[in-house]
Amino acid sequence: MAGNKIKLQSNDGDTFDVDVEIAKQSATIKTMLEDLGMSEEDDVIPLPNVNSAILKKVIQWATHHKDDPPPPEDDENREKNLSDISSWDQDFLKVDQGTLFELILAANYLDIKGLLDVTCKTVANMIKGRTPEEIRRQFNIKNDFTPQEEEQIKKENEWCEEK
Amino acid sequence: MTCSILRLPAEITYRILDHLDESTLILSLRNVCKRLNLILDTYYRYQVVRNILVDDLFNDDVNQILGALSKYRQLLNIVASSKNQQLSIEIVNPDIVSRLIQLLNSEHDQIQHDALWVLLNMAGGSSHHTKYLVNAGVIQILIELINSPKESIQENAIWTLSNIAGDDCQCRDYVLNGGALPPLLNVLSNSTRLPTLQTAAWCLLNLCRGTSPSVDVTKVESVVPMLNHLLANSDEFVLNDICFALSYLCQLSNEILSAIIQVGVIPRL
Repeated sequence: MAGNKIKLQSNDGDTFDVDVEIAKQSATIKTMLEDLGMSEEDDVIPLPNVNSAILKKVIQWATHHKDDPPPPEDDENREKNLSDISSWDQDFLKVDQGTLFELILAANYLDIKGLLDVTCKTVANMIKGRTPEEIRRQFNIKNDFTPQEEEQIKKENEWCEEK
Repeated sequence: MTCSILRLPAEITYRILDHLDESTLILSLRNVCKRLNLILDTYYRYQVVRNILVDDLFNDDVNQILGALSKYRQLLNIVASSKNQQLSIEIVNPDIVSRLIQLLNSEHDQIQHDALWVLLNMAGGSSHHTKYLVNAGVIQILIELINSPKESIQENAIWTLSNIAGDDCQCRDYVLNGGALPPLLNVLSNSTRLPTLQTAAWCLLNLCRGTSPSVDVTKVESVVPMLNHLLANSDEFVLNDICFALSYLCQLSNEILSAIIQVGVIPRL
């Protein structure tokens, strides 16, 4: 029934009232509702892997995208097109890296394909066309290779380039 | 603790990689740090199998098939040495196995040879791979190839069967039930090529060995009349394997033991 709400609880104890239809963009929640029959208004769905700040963002995203057509199932043809992120999503994802990665984890846990896709694309955009050193700086990664290992990688790369 | 790209589970990182081009993957991301390198290793080789290699393998062009076979064999070797269970499951799949089996019947000598070589490597790998081969029906075709006029094909077919039979008693019985013994004994009595004889003797050993359960004596008793001939061989490796096989046979039943004594092998032993 339209307008039904459910309560989602983050791992730090906050509860959020959300329209059922919006919450169902999460395949995880959809399954919980349908398989476990958790449809009563008083039921609270605990989400032990998501904190308040992230859950709030996820709900914000899902609310904006509530009328989107369902994403295509076919994973094989995932396109490498990185420029098709909507300007709303681009603004929405102007967050610090910690938040971005937590959103990815939440999208994965909640199984929200659209959000997972757009967050992964955003990270891919931060990597694309950069040198190893630039990528390290971008993500604050320490180079933990020994010189010998770096040499080894170069050698290993050869086999896949051979034609 | 803040979440970073290095703390994402590999399967999520794959989803990010899905959006990147090959040159970024190989030339940049692979060289950033150990963790990303490891993820790329798995991801990239997986992709190679999924896209490039598999497409080529299923192509009709001889050179593309040969190239794919050679890369695939390299890949199997890398996987075997890396002990990465997940990867080994990913790269051996039923489609590839049935294609390889199909290529065994190729009219093109080199394709037939290389496809067999890949299957031989696979059969020598994990039990998991061997089971794939057995389920795909490889045994029957290999048995037919024992009669191949091409020496290397004959030898490698026997070798692969021996690898399969050596996997466990169930596989051993599959090979025996498929009818491998008569052509194998035929090779042992008629071949003059030493590598083939050595491989065949080793295969015979694998067909007789194992105790859980032991081999059905009626399936192997046809070896007995040939024993004198087999023991007349002068090669150390052939003799060693034949003697081992003989020791397994002796344990199967009193009847076969007396039959073995009756053919007069004791003086030679």
